[in-house]
Amino acid sequence: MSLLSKKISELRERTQQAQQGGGDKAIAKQIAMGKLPARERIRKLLDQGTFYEYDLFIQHDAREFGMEKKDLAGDGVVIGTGKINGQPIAVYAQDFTVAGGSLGSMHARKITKIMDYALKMRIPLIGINDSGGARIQEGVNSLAGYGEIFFRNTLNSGVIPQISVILGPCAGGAVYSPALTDYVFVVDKISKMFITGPEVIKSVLGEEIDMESLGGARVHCETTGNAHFFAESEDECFKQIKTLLSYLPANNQTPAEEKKPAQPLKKYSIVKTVPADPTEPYDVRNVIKALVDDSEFFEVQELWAKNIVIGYGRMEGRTVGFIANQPLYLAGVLDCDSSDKAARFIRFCDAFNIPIVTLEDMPGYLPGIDQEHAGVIRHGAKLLYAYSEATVPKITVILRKAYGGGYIAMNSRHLRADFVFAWPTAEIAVMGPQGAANIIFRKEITEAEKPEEMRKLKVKEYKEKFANPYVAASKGYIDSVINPADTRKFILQSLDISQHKTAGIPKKKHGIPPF
Amino acid sequence: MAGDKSKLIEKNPQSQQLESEENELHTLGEISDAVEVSLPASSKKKFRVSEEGYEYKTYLTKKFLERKPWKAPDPYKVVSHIPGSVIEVFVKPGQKVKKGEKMMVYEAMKMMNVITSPMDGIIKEVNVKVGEILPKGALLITFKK
Repeated sequence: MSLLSKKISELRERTQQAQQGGGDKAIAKQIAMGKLPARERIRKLLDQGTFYEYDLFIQHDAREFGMEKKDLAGDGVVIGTGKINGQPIAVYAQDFTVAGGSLGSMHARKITKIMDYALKMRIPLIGINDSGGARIQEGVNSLAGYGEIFFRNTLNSGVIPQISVILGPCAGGAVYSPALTDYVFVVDKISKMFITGPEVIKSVLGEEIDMESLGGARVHCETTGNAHFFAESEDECFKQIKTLLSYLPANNQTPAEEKKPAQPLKKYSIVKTVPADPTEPYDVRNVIKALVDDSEFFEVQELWAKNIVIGYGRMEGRTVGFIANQPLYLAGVLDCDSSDKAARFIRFCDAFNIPIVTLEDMPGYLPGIDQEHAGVIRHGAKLLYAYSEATVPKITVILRKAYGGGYIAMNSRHLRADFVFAWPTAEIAVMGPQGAANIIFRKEITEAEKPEEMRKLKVKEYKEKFANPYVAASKGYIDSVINPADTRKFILQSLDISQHKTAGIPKKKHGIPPF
Repeated sequence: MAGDKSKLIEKNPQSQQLESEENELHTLGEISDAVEVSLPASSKKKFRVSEEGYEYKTYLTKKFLERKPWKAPDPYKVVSHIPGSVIEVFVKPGQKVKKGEKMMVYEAMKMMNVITSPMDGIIKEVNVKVGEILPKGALLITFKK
């Protein structure tokens, strides 16, 4: 055997040894929990044969509590680069089979290294989280590691898309990396996220709850809004990630890849979807499907704050972000959660130069003590802030109701929408006919011989005078009243016109949104 | 040991000076091995402090004291998710319904919302009447278990 081949076989041995992770027993345990090993996850997520791993031979440097005798393969995390949909990405995956994926200083250094690569190369970053938390034996060094990760998440924000995939526990401080990233993917029964677990909650407060109800995948998709995509299995989750990435650009300087333009499917008809009677609900997603190429709409945060719909579609092959009030849930009102949901989405689209199309049909902000006390003023303001600040092409179509503060908030002309269209069914007014008539005609109604009949008469009068698009049109607040069947045509033309849109905000260090 | 500590806290002169219940000094511990400790009677609140964990003397906020304990949602109860009024009820006690079947029209925010059955099951009770104006979280329909 030549010296070279000896060296090469030594490399092969070392590589094999390191790639075993926590060994057969730990891997079997991982699989028994319904989870895949870290490298297997990366292999499934990335295009075949595109993954290149770095820092395989990293050793931890802990010297306390007997750690000096322990060998932890790759220090419990796999990092590298590869491709998804043919586009370069950077990835890390925590390896639960190695010391429970616990985060020590070298483990963190590997993660921050790949984060720095992603930023320098301007490519999306995907982090697969599966970790028991801080490595206690490494003390404050592991906290330092988390801090270094969070700092980079913040610096990378708005420059490259950052995606977190929760495929195991992610508890305590560790949750703040996903929380700082743009999109969080969870899998039923596998993902667990919380700051303090059920045991601590029980011992401190005496409140009992199981782990799934506290921080399971469903809870984060339906209740907290911390997660964006819910999957039944890891495979489904990987598919969702690939689909999301297909809509996104690699960074804030390049556009997303264009697809071949296509027509919406014939089975989605705008005219058949939206009832003219403003009290009849409908699924606004069917309107979006009637507008986008191939009727393909990829919804974000489908299960949380369902009264507003956000997500991606393509028009003439280019990515467009959609925001639509959803009359099917809570009458499509704006409230704390829906404002938060839409505001963050707008900021993502604006940061990555994705045009925004807003479909408006909402009766206003949700009245209620719980909403007021939950701070609907502050949360609602986020929506105004995000729309006003966004400089990407902004197009609004008012389908039916556009009342009060909600009319202003939903990308109105006054927040610098580029194009505002209204259907003939639009009702644009300061408030609904019932309430408005009661205030404006209070005297006439109370002094009438038959107040109830007078009220009905005055409501009708108000409806005819104001609950239509023509008052707003007469002031130039909307550009055109359009035939609903022409909506796609009008949006496409507006997008085409806005391709070289130049708009700016005053020079500043940064604004101060009402977080 | 935890007992000793809690006694110290109870005797804390500062906490006795404070009159309002809301401004009472409390202790909050952390980590497991909890021992239940009664705090000053005036507070009517019990908190657990830990055997070994740190103890903090702290004021509790009004929001914290008034928080509602978490309850697992009962799948057999359908509740209103928005304030509104009952327009029409399609189901009766004892009736079998399929998942997705129309049960009620509930008007809220200028919209006629159709409330559909969350499961295949039998209606035990209709808890509301047509015309009733309801807050959020009101019990509408109960299913048989």
